[in-house]
Amino acid sequence: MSDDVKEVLCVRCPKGCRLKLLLGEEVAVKGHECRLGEEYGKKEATDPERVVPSTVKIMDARWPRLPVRSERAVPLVKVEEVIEELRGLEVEAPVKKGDVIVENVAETSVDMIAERDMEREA
Amino acid sequence: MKDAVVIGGGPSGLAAASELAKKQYEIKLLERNDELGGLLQQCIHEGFGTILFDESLSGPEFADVFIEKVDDAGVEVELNTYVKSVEKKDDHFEILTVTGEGVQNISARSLVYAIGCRERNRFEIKIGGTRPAGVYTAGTVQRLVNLYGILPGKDPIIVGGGDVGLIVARHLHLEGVDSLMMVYPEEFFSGLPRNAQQCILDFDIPYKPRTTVKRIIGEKKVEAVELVEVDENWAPIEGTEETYGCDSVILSVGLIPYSEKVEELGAVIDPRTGGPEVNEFFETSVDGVFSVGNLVQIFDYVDDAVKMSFVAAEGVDDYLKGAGRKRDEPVRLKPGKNVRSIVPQRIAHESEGKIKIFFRPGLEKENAKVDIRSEGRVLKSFKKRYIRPSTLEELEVSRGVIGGKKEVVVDVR
Ligand SMILES: Cc1cc2nc3c(=O)[nH]c(=O)nc-3n(C[C@H](O)[C@H](O)[C@H](O)COP(=O)(O)OP(=O)(O)OC[C@H]3O[C@@H](n4cnc5c(N)ncnc54)[C@H](O)[C@@H]3O)c2cc1C
Ligand code: SF4
Repeated sequence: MSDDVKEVLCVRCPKGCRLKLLLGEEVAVKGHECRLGEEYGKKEATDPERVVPSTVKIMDARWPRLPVRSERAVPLVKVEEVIEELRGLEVEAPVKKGDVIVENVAETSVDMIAERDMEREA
Repeated sequence: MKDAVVIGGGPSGLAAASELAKKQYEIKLLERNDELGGLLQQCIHEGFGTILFDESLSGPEFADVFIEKVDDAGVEVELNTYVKSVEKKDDHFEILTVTGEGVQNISARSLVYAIGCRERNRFEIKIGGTRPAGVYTAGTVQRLVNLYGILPGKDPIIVGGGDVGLIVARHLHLEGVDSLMMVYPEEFFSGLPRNAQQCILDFDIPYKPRTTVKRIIGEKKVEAVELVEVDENWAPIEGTEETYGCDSVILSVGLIPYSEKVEELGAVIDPRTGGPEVNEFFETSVDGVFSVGNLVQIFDYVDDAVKMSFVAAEGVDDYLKGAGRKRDEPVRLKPGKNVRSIVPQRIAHESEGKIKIFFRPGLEKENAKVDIRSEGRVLKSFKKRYIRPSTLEELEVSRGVIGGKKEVVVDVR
């Protein structure tokens, strides 16, 4: 694959067209079978974003791991950095659903939040 | 005596229990694990709730909505309670449970089974070779990684390209395995495009379509697998074998309803879904015994499963009131051309209202036409933009359309 062509799957319907994105000043989308695909392809070409799910270590809780996710989507290129920042992190129970676990993760201005309550257990 | 006992505390059981308790019935919910939420507690990715709440929640977040409802509605919940067996008496059921404190008996006027599904194993898909340690199902790996922070190995191979395998691949990649590979017999990933893109393609994880594992190699621990290419009928192509070094094998080769328990009670099992046959209110062939969620059929979206629990709750309500007039002979719903399975399998009531029909297509097709027919006449047709076997399809029909018929068939063309 050359630098200026990117292949992605359209996720707007179960058909999953395989789109070719020709990158440049004006992005061109190929392989889509309807307008939705073109729209999606343009967004994927310029700034793809993803919500990041992961877990962190938690002490004195029912499970050894606490599920966390980014509150909003972060740029795709930042995903691995976000995960890197979570590595080695340790929190302590109790935790409430929605608690901020890491602020402004990987300088994305997005917070990582807890996905569930975890009560303290001896 | 309880009005209804719900068995299984996953999303489907939670939804049915809270809905019934809201109607002022006395409800007990039995769950074998030490917390509620079922499978969803280990599904930490988002994508749940888009149909019901127009919001993309993670599994635990989605489960929490229904755990709260169960709390608010005053359902009596018993955790660490495994339902061992059930006996049908004249006008009620006797449930035998095993708990930390010993054996216990519970009586109920009606039952709702919501015990979910299990994963298929290597023997069901005929993978040969030795039996070393290091062979897992994808759901087990998801549990190990997300709840315990344990990786199954450093160089795993994932067999199967469905949603569970895709999701697990992303977890393993991000949690830092050294190498990872996915193989599957289809021509392209069978999971949702969204998962294929965001779990495999986003991270350039290597994959091989039209490939499967022929046998596992290794004495004590997995050392390698023998891969083989397959044709479009999934038959191995001789001479294409190659050895691939790995330290663990993760199988994501399908889910099957946990139907043994309802079968013991006398419920008829549909070999196509693997779950009990149900009517439009999710009542099995045993009066007063209902089934919901992945026990009935494997739902792709938990939202759909939960919506069907609401329908089942209406059915239980009618049953308890002695309301709802049943037909002398139910209308049989049968899968026809290019349809693998269909739910419900029969329409039993006279009532008004629309009926939801789910079917699994037998082929991949663009601009498909779906016909509902009886005795050679088409009663109603639907258009579907794009269908494929891995996506469950839904139809809504008014009762008038199929009323008075003996047997109704659903065809895809
Ligand atoms: C890996 C994976 C990823 C998924 N991803 C998505 C997704 O992205 N989006 C989406 O919408 N859906 C997704 N799903 C589907 C969703 O998880 C299921 O549809 C949903 O969990 C089904 O709910 P259930 O209540 O029928 O079954 P379950 O959640 O399996 O609950 C069954 C419960 O019954 C209990 N039980 C079983 N036997 C007994 C017994 N004898 N006595 C007492 N209790 C018992 C079990 O402990 C369990 O708690 C995914 C599923 C999996 C496996
Ligand atoms: S381009 Fe259109 S038809 Fe193709 S997957 Fe996207 S939404 Fe569906």
